Amino acid sequence: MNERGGVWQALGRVRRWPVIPSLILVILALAAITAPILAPYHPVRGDLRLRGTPPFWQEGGSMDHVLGTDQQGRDILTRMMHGARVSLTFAALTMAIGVALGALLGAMSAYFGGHVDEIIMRLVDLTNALPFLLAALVVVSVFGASFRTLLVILSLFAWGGYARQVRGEVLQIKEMDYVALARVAGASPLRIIWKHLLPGVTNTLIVVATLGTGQIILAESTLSFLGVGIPPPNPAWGSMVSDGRNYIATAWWIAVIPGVGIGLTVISLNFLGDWLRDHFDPRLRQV
Amino acid sequence: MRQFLARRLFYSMWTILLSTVIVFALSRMSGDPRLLYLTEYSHLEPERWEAWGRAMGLDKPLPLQYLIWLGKALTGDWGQSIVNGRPAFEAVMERVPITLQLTAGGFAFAIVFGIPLGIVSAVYRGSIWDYMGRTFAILGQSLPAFWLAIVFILIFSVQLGWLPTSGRGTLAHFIMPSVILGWLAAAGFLRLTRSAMLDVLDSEFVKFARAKGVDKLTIVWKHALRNAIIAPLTFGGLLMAGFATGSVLTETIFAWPGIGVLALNAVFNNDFPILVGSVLVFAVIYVVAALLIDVMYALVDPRIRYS
Repeated sequence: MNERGGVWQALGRVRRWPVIPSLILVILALAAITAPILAPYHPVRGDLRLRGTPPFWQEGGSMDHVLGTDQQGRDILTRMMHGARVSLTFAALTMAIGVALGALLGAMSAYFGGHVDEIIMRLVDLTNALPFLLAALVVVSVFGASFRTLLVILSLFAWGGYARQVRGEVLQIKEMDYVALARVAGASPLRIIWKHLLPGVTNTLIVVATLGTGQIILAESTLSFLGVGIPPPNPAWGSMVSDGRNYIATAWWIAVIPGVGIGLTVISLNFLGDWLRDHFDPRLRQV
Repeated sequence: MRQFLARRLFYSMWTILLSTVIVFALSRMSGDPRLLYLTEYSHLEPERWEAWGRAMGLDKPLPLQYLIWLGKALTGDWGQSIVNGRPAFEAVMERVPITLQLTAGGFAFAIVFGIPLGIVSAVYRGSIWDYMGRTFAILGQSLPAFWLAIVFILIFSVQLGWLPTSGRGTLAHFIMPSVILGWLAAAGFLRLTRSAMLDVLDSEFVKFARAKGVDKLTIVWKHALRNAIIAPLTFGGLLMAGFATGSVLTETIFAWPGIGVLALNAVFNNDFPILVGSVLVFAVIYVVAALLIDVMYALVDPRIRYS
């Protein structure tokens, strides 16, 4: 989960704010927030008479259902908006927990060193080495698929990468005079970490959180696609693709359109994350 | 070298051991293991229930139960499938080669496309090849693999009719699953090869070789690539966790009858012995593969074995 991002230096070299990705993300966020008010139809109840209506640009489609309807006659645009609500809320929550855990444990690892460092880093190794999907399968079979189960699994896997990054930076910061002075002044380790070390890694955290959110969206949609993620009838993007799987020969849009949503979101987050990285820290810029 | 091997081996064992602890703990959290075997018609007197519990060792303390469980797992006694009563060990093991074939296909695709594209992207930086290579990488890293698989099936099977939608048997069956499984890894290889090549091409000794008049091809092959190839190799071990996730997904979509499908179906059927068996086998396969790759690059690069 940790080895992605950072490829698109071609556009990264253009040192401007990435307008299109930001715009896409803003529109998605707005769609997610306003879904209960603005979405034209009901997200779960469909009109069976209108099953498999194609999107408007195809023959047989109309502006009533701009992106068409699925196999149960549910409006795809409506479900996309509600799906954005589910998927984005989930990703934001997971990322917040993962970043908080990662920042705290990473800073502790670097600050205390020794056994604490060793134990935390071995746990980080574990989050890298264990395939999250297998862990998810076992956990889901024990506790059942739910929003909360999924939140716990994915945040437990997300923190490792953040912790390693934070540890690397804190190792440098903790050698600085002001940290030594704080220690001499009698500040407790927790206070030093919170007041003096973590503010120094805020930029890094913003970057890894942006890039990480894309990964979480991908992970969540993969689990939802396999039927062990966010349970139906919640319109998660991954399960929408899965719904349309059996109809690709006759109604391709049911599976294809939600996937475009996922892809656009992740690409936008990756562009934004790379831009933020270059913006905050030119040293991190790769050629 | 011996120290490196020992350390690396220790981490692999630790990972596997910890995953068995996690799996065991979770299996106990799911409730009394006797309940798994009950049907709605089962009727048991309390005495027989207790006797059964003693027979399964449930009256012993949990750490001891874990050790007994681990001992059985190591000797191949994984219990029976709840669904059809087959020994879980047999049911899982017969699918190992099938999953390994797919993994090999995916890995081959990742290397054959990722590394050369990375080299070309770096050498002809800013050219159309560079843009194509990087687009390939961006798509692989951002698009959900399950969606790509469906779009591939739509294009190459439904529309064009070139490739079979699912199953295995012929070489044609390998193409789509391997590409889907390997794309993400290929993107990683491409990126790492490209940035490593750019670094080396910018170094003093390459500039010197260039100034000396060595021709471009020799510089790329002899001077740059040999040094740049280390970075993508070190990445190989890290890839393995992603491959496990990818296998479950790819096998499910393309009806490839490997361990991934087995594990997923076990979840839906509440077939816990099979699920535990497949998860542990997966863990062992990928930990061992990561170990082999790491040892391989330690052989290639002396800096790693002495660090």
